[in-house]
Amino acid sequence: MLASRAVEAATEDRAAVFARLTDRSLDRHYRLAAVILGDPLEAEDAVHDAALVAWRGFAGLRDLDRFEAWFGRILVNGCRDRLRARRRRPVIASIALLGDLDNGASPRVSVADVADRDELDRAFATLDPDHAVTVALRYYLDLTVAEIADRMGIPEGTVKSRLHHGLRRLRRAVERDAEQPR
Amino acid sequence: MTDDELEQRLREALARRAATSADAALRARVLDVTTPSVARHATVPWEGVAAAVAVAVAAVLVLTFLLRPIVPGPAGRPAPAPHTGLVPGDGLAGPTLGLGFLLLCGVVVVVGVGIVWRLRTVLRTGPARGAALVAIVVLIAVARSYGDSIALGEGSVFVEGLGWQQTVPNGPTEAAYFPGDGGTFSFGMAIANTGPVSITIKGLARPDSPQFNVALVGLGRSPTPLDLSNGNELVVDPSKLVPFEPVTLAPGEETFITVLGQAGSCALAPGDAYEVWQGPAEVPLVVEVAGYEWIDAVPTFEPVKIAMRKGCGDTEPIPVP
Repeated sequence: MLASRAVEAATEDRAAVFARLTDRSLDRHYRLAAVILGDPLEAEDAVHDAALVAWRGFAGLRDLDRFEAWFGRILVNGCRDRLRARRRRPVIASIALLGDLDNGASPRVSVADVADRDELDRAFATLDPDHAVTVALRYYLDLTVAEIADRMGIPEGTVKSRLHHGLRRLRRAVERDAEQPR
Repeated sequence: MTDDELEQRLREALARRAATSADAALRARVLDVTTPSVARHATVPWEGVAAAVAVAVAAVLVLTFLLRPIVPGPAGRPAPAPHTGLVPGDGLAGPTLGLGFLLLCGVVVVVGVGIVWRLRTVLRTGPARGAALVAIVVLIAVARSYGDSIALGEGSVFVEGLGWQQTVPNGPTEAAYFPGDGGTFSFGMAIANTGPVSITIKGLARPDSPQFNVALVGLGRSPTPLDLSNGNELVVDPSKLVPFEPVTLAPGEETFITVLGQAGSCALAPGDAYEVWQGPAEVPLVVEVAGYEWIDAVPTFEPVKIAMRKGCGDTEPIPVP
């Protein structure tokens, strides 16, 4: 009985620590998921799923200072899997962009700006999931190559290669779009 | 567009994709994952289920293997061979890696690598890990059943042959062989396939090191169906045997083999006073399953006691053809 209570108390403590650490970085993780997935609703699901996975493995995390990077890695892997699954089914729309337009987020947005946004958004959506995640970590979170490698669990050379190919593909897509008459 | 311009526009585009912030509902939903009910209903313990299945499958396999009665089936019936008598060197074999087996291994490796590559994402999931665990357990169970002296077991029949002397004059009450200096001896025994799949006996394993004092030099069989009631010595007399031919045994099936041995210079002859004995404790046989060959050592049902002079040892190895 006493042992059972002790386990219960330890679990409660662990849950409190987990909740504190998760809450502290939730906004950043949610935004990153939204950037990678381009869909706030799916980003919510991705963060929730990542939290579930993280909680299951939380007992095995020895260094709590690594929590944010560790959680981020779980989240990024989950987002990448979602992108892969999405490629196997039709893409519906870029909800983030539609949301911006509906809300009239910026009254000074010109037709050309919207077109540019379309180009890059469309181009980003066509990236290979691995490339998309790498590009997002580099140009949204401003992580270094070494940090991205650590976050994704891949060699730095692979990160550089993915960035190179990702940017090249984005450039081609933007230039191809720019050549079309408006 | 320069690289800097592209990167700048990319940063802006990505920043626009970022949602404002996690709302209270999401925050509550995420922080609720630590409550036992949510964790229990939201996740299926695939790894636990898979492990339980693996243990159950392994238990069934092992129990089936251990509890399966060994029912002697019809003996292997190789084609009749001309009656030449059994001489040293007959029936010897060495395990080889067949070309077909190597090709099969190659195909399995290529297909395996392809599957692993194709399923590299799926393989990270719990069910796949569980399935891999089941596969490993099954492989270990099968491999374990084919460990040394496991695939073949000694049958209940053992027949002494040439050189055997039931009454030892002036000695302890031990029946033993008295082949004499360089003489031959023979014995016969039933062996059974105790494994779960059919197995082929290819012959007696050729020794890979020099043999002193006692050596097994030939494997034979009776040219006629074995009839023990007609006198045991008859069927293990080398002059009445023919060389062994590969025979395939189904699980549980038995066959009868006869082994020809040769003694060294220290062996006692009939009429000598008994001193000590030495002899093979097992018969190394080359066996094969699905093209893979290895040596399986089958214990002799009865000890093969070759009467020797005390303190004597050969200096020259016994020649094995």
